[in-house]
Amino acid sequence: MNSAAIQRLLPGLSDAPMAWLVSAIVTAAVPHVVRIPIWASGLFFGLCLWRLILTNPNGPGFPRAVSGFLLRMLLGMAILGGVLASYGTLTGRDAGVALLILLAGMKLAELQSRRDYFVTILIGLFLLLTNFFFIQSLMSAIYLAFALALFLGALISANDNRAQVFSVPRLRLAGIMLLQALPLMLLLFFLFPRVSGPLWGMPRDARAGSTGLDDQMTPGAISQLSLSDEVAFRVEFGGALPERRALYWRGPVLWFTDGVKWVPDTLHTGTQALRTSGDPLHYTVTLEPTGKNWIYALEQAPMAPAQATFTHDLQLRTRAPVQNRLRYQLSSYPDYQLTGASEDELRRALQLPPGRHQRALAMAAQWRAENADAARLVDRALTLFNQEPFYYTLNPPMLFNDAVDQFLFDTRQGFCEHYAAAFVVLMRGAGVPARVVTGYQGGALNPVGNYLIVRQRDAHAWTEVWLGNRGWVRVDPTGAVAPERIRQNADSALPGTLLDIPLALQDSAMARNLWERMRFTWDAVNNQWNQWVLGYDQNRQSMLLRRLGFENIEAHNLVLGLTLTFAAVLIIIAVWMFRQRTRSADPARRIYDRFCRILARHGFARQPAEGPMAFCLRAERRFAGSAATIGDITRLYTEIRYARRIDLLPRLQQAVAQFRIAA
Amino acid sequence: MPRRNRMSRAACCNRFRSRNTRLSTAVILESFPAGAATGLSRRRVYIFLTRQGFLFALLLIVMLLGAVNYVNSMAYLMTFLLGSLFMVCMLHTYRNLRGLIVRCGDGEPVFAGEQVRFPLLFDNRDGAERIAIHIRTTAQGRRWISRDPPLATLELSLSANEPARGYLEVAAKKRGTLRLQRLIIETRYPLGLFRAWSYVDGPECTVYPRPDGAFVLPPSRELHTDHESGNWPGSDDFSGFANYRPGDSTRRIDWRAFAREQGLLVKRFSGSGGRRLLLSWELLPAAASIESRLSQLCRWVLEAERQNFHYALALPGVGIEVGTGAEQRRNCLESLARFGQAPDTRADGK
Repeated sequence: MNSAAIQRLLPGLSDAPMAWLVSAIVTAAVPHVVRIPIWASGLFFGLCLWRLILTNPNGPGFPRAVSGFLLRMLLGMAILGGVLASYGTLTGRDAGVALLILLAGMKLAELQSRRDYFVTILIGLFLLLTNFFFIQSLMSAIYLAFALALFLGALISANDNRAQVFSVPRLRLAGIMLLQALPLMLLLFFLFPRVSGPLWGMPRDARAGSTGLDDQMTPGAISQLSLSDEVAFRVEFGGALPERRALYWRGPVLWFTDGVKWVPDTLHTGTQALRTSGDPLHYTVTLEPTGKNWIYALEQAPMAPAQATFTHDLQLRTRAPVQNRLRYQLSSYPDYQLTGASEDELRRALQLPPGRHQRALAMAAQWRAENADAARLVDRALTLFNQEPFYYTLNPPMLFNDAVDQFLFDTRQGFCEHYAAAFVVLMRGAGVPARVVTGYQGGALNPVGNYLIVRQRDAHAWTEVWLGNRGWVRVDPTGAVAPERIRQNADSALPGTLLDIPLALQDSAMARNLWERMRFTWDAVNNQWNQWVLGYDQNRQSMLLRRLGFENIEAHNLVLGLTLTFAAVLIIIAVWMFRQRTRSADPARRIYDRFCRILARHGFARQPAEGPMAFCLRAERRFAGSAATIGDITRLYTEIRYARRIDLLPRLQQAVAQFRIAA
Repeated sequence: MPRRNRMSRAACCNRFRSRNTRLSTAVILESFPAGAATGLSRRRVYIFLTRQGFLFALLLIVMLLGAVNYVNSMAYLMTFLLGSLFMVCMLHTYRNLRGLIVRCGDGEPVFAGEQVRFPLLFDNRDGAERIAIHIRTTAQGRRWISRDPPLATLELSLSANEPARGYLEVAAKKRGTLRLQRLIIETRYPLGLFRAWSYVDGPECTVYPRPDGAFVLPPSRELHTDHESGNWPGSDDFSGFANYRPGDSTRRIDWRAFAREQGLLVKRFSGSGGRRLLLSWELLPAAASIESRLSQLCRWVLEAERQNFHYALALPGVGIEVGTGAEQRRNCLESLARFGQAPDTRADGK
């Protein structure tokens, strides 16, 4: 297809804007490629390629753009059918994104006019936005700037009548515009009144993908714990950091078991009396969205934060699932006694599935017969884990029949869930009320930001046993087998290759340190990003306003203030933009131009066709008082320009610098 | 000061007019007072959303609703960034036009049926490059309703600090004065979301009748001699000098006298030699239409000029004395072009 034919197809558009458009759309779609079915990505890139071949004057030449009504209808139906088949629906986040990508591809392929071009850009921009329903990291913001520069370039090249393909000036202008928009964007971002909560319902899958602890556990069901480096929450401590082994972040408490699965108490009744002593730890937790309706607290906090309430087993529950990053403040006492359980509660803490764990229960009954003291029984069980060949591993064998018996007597390999479940079964068998507590243990200090990062792989399960007058006492059976798991962290239980250190760096201690330091810095930056960008909500906004000295500002006043500041910044940008003059390449000309501008300010401008001499004559008559200087400057300038007396340049510069119009 | 400028501009225009220089309008599009060229009138630059701009604004609203509903900070961020770009784009579009000096010239006279070229001069001193500037004539007649394409368009980009020239080409269909309505100078650069525009007074051009007709030149003959011979600028015998008056042939100016700084003197001749023609309306059949008679006269004027005749033109109510040369030709053709039209008001300085 020759270029004349393309001109006919796309009146007023050459192939330069097309290259820009395709690269912009592809940039917007690329992050989605792994999220949509393979056939959809294939079709999308096929359509993009089609457009590029159509546009390329040297291409093999397809008959025409996807322009036939029938062809378009067929392709549209095929896309709808395909998405329906892949997702089972046409709505919702995931299916919507797939549809949007294919729509962008279709629009690209059938593009025939300036209007189509613009509509494709709008679809592309929306596609770019949908990316943030999956990922909101700092990197995605940088990617956004890059993609927007391409979109701007596409718009600029469509409105520019000069034919250039990938030209630097266009990208430069796009960059300048982005930089100019930046302060305005920040103003809007921080001062635009934030509304909390959804305006209408959101698709069920809008939040999919948040990982985290479940409120049930099934030891032996998975052979490998997912060792995710994902951050569960970050904690800033008000004072000094407590010891690692005191860091038990309490989550769901599991009471009931059917022999396979452990689940929380469904009755939600019970009593407790918490007695605390010593100094409290004050800290602020920033919890990543979990989609679950509980949050974590250091053992043991007497007061619930505003966002949550305590259950009878001291679990913090929120009213609604945590769908956004949540920040809450707490005070906890590492020194505490938890007493006051009701009879009924203690009975529930002895529940055992009928007919299961025969061997374990037999052993427990024998222990009880030998010594019925609860504390002694706990010791015996811990000694068993410690003395017998039990191993702590993250890759235990699968357990099929009776998970507890098999673990205790056959495999003897497992991680926290196995030990916690087996321990609670043994205790209950011996008549000691016990329950499993899940949550996180430990965390890594980020020395850069001086806060604690708790990751998904710090997930842990421990137990609480009822020791009469001492109340509920925490016992961590995993600690009996692998104390370093508690003292250090889960990393030490991992083979080195699992740590995300590049292989090349593993040998050198310095490289390892450097790598660690880089990771910590990166996480610190991300933490600030989370705090100030992603977690910026109504609360943060009012906090910021308070810090700026505006207490309880009303929404309409905020809008007024925003509008005024926005206008002021816009005017500053405008003045800066309009004052810029393009400078001549010739230094003498630049100085002479400055001289002419001084005269122009006095209402005396050089006419376009007026030479320096003629202008000088006119100016001398008009400003008789400065005639001599005007003449000097003009002579110097003409000497430099026309007699190549470059040595006179400093004198010209000096003369113009000192030039004043005499009154 | 401004008053002085306006006066000097008017004087300037008149001088141009009298010499038939073709500069009609010089306009600086809105600029801050400092540094602006003086002596030019200023026009305001208007700016408004294009249809694409409206669509874009709609998209922004949808995005904002999405961001609020899904409480998605990055969606907020992107929406606000696009909104800020929207405002920045407005500044850029405005900047693309602001401070540009546009001079619009009258077209060189043409014969009906030819193309008029209206020159446009762009003075981009002090300016950055200006990209994709469109100039078009406004639709004639009902301006707001008409969907007719403009008579002429011009699209160009100006480099920084450089003058540029372009032409608006319009077909001259009818004899008379072709006067364009005001021109629109507009730009949508860089993003096409805004359109900035301004107006420049339309230029004009004299359109001579189309030279046509089958009649040969009337026979040359002596003109009436009821004038004193000295008053008739003949060509036979030198009879002295006279002061130059507009319309005198430049061939008869005594340049040597001019060089002696004696002013412009014209040599006068007396006598009745040479062939003289009277191209008269009356010579043509009364049955013919006005336009065809004018066309015939036009052809005669051109023919007479080509053959170096001395000729006079006589139209009902208009008479042009005998003469020859470019000035005579122009006077005659202009009389033909303006025949039957109201006197031009613009030439009086408006």
